Amino acid sequence: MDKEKLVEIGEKLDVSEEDITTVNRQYRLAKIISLITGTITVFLSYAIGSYRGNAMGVKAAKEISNNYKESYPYAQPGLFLFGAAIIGSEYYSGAIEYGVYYKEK
Amino acid sequence: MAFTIKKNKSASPPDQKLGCAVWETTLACNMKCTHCGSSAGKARPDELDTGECIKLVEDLAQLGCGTVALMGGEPLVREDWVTIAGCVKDLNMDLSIVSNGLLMEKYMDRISSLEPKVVGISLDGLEKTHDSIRRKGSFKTAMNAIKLLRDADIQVTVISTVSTKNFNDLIKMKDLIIKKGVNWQIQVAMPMGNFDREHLISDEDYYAVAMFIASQRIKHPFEELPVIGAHCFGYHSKLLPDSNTWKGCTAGISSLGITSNGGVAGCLSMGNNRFIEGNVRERSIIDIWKDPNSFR
Repeated sequence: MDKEKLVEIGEKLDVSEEDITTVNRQYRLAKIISLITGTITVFLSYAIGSYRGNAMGVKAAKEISNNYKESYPYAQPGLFLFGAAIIGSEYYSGAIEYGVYYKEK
Repeated sequence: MAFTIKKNKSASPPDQKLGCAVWETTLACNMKCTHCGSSAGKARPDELDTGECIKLVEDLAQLGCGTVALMGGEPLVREDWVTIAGCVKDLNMDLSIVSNGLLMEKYMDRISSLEPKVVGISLDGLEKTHDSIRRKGSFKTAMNAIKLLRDADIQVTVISTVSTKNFNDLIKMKDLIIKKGVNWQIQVAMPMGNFDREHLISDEDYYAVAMFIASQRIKHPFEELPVIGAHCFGYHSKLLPDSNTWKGCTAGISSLGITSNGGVAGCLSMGNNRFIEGNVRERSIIDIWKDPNSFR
């Protein structure tokens, strides 16, 4: 649907073109912020995981071989949070409600 | 044209948590709303008795149900509603009540002591519109109910059902309730029950209401006036550019509906007996919820 039509429909309930633009902008902003937050979280998780995986700089520990070739799972929470941030951005306004809405006190 | 219902792969698996049970405790009602999807008025002849209701509440608690929403008809016309609501609270579930407000003054002390999470009060327009949809004088009783509940520090959600009759009242309704410290839940009158299909809003008006909700959320801080779109706004949300898209119905996944004679469906809004998964008189709600063949 083009913007002109949306504006025409919005006018029925006093929703201005500016309102529509603001709604869209705020939605995009939430998406972008969640993506940036997710990316930073993942990066930090990998960085910390990498550091800890290298025995946190302790030389003696670094010399112990990892026979099982196990990976260090420190990035996993980051990936989880990244996913949660994306989902959270969809629900950030809690717009769709089933039953009766209430605010958590 | 024949159609088939797509099977819901994620319908309640055995350990799925039940978040919300929406319970039509009675079909009896002291109003005759023109948009009533339940065709409420008289009680069903075979409604659950008090003992059956208590057993049902106990089973819901055993399922770990989060919230029990008492609806109707008008739930407050049922003589034993306090017993049922008290049982919900005693078993540590959240209680919500949806009412037209007509009996609020009579039961205010009881409601206060029950400490519901929220009470939903139906308000469908300004005085003239609301009274024409519900009954003469009902606007004043609804507004009085809101005041009584707020004075008792009980959270109130004003529920407005939109049809062509009240579409144009929405803007002024906002001005009416904005300073009352309530939430505002807006939903669309569905072509069910008593509702005259001629008053169903058009596709464009449906969009307009959705945009109205979105714009109000920006104009007013959530603390001042939370404006919420009910689940009926989800179905076509993808068509509204850059709006929050709906992720799917929770019916039979984390919520269910119970009719006053014990029928269990994914949602009471489906309004069709073929979606009844079972009856609590024949099988416990625990069995119905955990049955892998339910809600498919």
